[in-house]
Amino acid sequence: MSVQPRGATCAWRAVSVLLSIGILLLTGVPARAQLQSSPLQMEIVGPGSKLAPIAVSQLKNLGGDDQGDVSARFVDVLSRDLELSGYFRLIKPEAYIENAQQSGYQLGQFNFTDWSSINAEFLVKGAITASDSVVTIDAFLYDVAAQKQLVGKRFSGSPQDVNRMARRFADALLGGITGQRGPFDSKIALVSTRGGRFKEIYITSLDGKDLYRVTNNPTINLSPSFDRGVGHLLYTSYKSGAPDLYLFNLATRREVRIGSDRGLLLGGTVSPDGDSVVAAEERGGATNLFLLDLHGNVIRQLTHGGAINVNPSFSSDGRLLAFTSDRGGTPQIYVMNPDGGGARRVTYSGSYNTDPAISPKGDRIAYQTRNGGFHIAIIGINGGQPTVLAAGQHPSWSPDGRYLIFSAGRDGASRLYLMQVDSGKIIAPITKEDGDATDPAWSWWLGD
Amino acid sequence: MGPGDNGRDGLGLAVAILLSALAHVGLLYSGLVLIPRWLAEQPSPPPVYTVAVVDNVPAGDLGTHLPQLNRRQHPPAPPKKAPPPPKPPKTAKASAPNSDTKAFALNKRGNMTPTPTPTPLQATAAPTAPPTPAPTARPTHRATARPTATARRIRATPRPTPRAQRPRSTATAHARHAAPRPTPKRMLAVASSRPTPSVREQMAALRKQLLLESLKRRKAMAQRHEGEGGGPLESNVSTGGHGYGVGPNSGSAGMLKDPLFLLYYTQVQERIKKAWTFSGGNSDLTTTIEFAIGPDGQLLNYQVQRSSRNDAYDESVIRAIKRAAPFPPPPSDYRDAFSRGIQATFKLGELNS
Repeated sequence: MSVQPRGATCAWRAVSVLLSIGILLLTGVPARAQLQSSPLQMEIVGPGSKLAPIAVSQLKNLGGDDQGDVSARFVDVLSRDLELSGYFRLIKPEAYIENAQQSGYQLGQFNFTDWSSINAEFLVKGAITASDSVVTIDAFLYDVAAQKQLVGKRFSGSPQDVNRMARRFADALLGGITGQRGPFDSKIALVSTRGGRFKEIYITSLDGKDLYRVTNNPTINLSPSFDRGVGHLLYTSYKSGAPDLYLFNLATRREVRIGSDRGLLLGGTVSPDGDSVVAAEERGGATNLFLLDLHGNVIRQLTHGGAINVNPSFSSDGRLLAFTSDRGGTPQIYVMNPDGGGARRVTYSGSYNTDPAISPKGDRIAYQTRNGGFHIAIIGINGGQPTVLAAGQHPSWSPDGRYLIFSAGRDGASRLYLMQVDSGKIIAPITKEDGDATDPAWSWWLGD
Repeated sequence: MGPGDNGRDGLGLAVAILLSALAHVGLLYSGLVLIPRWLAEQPSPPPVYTVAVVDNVPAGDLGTHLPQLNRRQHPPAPPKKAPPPPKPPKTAKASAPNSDTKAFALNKRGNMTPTPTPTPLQATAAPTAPPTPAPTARPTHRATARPTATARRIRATPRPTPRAQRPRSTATAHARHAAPRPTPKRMLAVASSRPTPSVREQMAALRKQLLLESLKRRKAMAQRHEGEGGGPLESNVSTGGHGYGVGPNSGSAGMLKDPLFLLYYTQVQERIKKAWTFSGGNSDLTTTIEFAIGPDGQLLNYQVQRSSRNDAYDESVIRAIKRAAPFPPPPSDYRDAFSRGIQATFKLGELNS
């Protein structure tokens, strides 16, 4: 009678003891257990999340923004940028306990527990003074657990500059947390068929705000590229019948046509200094790269021979020029000095590799490879084994080198996608399903 | 050949089965009864200690201590706040900054004027305010859910002997726990149903069992939750955060075998992992940081012992520890161990960039 429960308890005991021993054996504890004086050891592999929870509070109105419109614009753009960075999870404003207008924004003027209690790891607070002509914004990034300020910035400018202030703060914020300035204070040029059948060139910000239409002609416009100072945009257009290059001055919004009566121009890129272009020109069955001045005069022929050499693309420092050539039999990626010397082949795997883009650091090349469909791949500047990242075309690097933007067709429409290069994570589509978006070109930072 | 052979074979088989069965029974008996008995060192205690035994068992050890603390805090709160209304800001800072600021945000005027009005307002504000961070809720929930189930299972086996129950023991236990949950009551029932000298052993075994199951479940949960919090199109590559690396100070293997210790240790580990966010970097990033946990569970101090040479990574590790704190109070037997320090190594892990 009493054996049964006794047996049961013994079984429990045995099971528990054996289990505990098993756990300990599995974890290899006893080996370390003998170290008398060392403290407890603990190992934690991998963060619980890759996304840090961040709260972006509205700016405290110090005058002139009674409706909070300007503050809302700032917070809106900043929040979108932080989301696109791939580092953060934004805590919804409905969860905020504190009212920004009734509390302070500088260290010591507000209660961190209002933010730690909603699990915020980081917090953005700030203040705004606005008039019709001048907006001044003070913005701060706080580490909630440490209760310390990580970044503090003051921006002053016209009311139109508020979006850009938000982007610049997003860049500084990323710098404060990751040690590397963010890429948001920049522009993306793209080709889009939005609002019609024709491929027109637009310039936008990564957050989708401040869309600007560069071309408006019912033909085809292609291959935009920025100079390093983001003062000019070069693109190819059929608006005069033949494909010509056009250099658009972003400040004056005027452009010059760079044509050629020697042959057919098949695209080009503007040099980092904006003083010259490298164009692919077809003459008598061969397509070669030429360095042209802004009037279309040949400064130097960069490639020679009967092969096809296209897709020129400068490194951001202007010291290297990548291009596509089929001189080896199939289209492959090559690099050379900007004077045409020292050409060498980079890609060897795959039989159709085009559209190279050199990373800002100059250590890698992103390109598109055709293998069934088009894919984005990355390879070291000196070659090696490429990494295929995702389906897509026409990659372009962010100025900080952490991201790529590229086009990919999904559901019948082509859109632009943002990808974190090191993780291979596609963060988000940048364009909406409004026509096809292709040929993205990411500019350098707009300012220092 | 033939049926005779078959019959003999059948007989032989039966004998073999019988022998095998006997051998198995013997093995099982030794495995389940003899070895455990040999392993269990505790002598059966005098029955007088039954009360103390019950005290050792409470769900408080299973992680319910925080809510209990809360409950204890609530009664004293109103009287504490009622007497000194003339100086509201100071008391607010000293006693409970969280709830007070909440009340402050809800009704600023009410808090500022030293009228008697704030008292009820604060009373209502206090419970709604979330001063205890989210993690508190988790262990509580799980710990209470678990024991109930097993307690029921165990209760089924012993006969419900209507023995003379020690009214004192139940009474004191009830008073002690202030009826937090049905769990302790159930376990009391188990204790009183077998008031034999082996009660203590039984309770210890039960406690161990509960803790171990809780441990296992936590482990499973930790594995399931891996890689959560990703972006919309995140690749589903994730690396493990399991595997415990325990190495005690005192060198007592008993500590490591004690599920109570392991449970708390795992709790700390999980809290930190959960609070840790990081994106980017090379997979071989490793930072070692030493920190200590005080008797109340507070973070005593911390120091990076071996940097990853990546500031952003080191900072993320420091933030993780700060965000995970305060921890639940360590089990009383191990307060010294945890206050002496924990050397935690944070590895980003493979493919986790």
